[in-house]
Amino acid sequence: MFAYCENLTSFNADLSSLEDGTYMFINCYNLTSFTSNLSSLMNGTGMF
Amino acid sequence: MSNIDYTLWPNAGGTLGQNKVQIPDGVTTTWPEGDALVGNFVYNKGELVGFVDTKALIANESKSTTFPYDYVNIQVDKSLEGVMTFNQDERTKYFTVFYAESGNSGDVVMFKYKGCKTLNDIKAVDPNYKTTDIVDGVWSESLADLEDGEEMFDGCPQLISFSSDLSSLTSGWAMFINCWNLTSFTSNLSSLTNGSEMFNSCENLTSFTSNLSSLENGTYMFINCYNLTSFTSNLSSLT
Repeated sequence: MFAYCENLTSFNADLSSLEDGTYMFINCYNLTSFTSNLSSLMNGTGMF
Repeated sequence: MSNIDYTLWPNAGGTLGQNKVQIPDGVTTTWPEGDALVGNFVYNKGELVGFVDTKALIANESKSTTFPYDYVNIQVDKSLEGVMTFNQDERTKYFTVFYAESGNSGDVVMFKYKGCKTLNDIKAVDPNYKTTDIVDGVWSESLADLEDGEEMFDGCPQLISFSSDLSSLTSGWAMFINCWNLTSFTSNLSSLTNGSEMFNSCENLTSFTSNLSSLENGTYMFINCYNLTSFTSNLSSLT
């Protein structure tokens, strides 16, 4: 979803239903702040 | 379902222009032998001026087809502005067809501005959004009834700022893909379930403010948004 968002520094969103986060934030080199709910996550392969 | 009188759209060799018709949903019509056929309705400067075959010119046989379209937007070659006369071969030569898939309402539009080069041209041939669509790169007209915006602004480099109600939008697949200059997006996307590739390669998108509480598919939604620095939303339905 956010792959290659190279300048994304802050993420704040409810992801409580997310089951598959594969590569969701891959190559977000500058992501420094992540605030969320990942209670349903089952697959986070390469997520960050 | 209703029938359309095909004579409203004289084709091969005919002179087009005069009839202005709003195409109902699910229209079925039969084209007589020798006529052509499956295609799209042509607008020029807001006027319905003809019918363009887009399915390989299936001539010389009777055809019955269902039109899944509400409105059709045609990018008209400037040399053909005005009343046009063209033959069968010229139809696909001079027109690029963008069509609106039907299903719910006349406001459902697909590919509406796909590949647009200058939005002023698009505005001139659009029967539904005659007035200010995009002024100085800013879209502000309400699209509150729009349900399907798939590829609607695909490749519109003129679009810089988008601020419009999209509260009915359910599918935004590739809606703003390749809008390289889109920097600001503010809207209500509370009904959006499919946002796949919606902002793919919006390289200058820095600000995104919206409610995505219904979003289920966000595959590649913001891929290659190199300059998106902050994201705050509700993604509680994302699976």
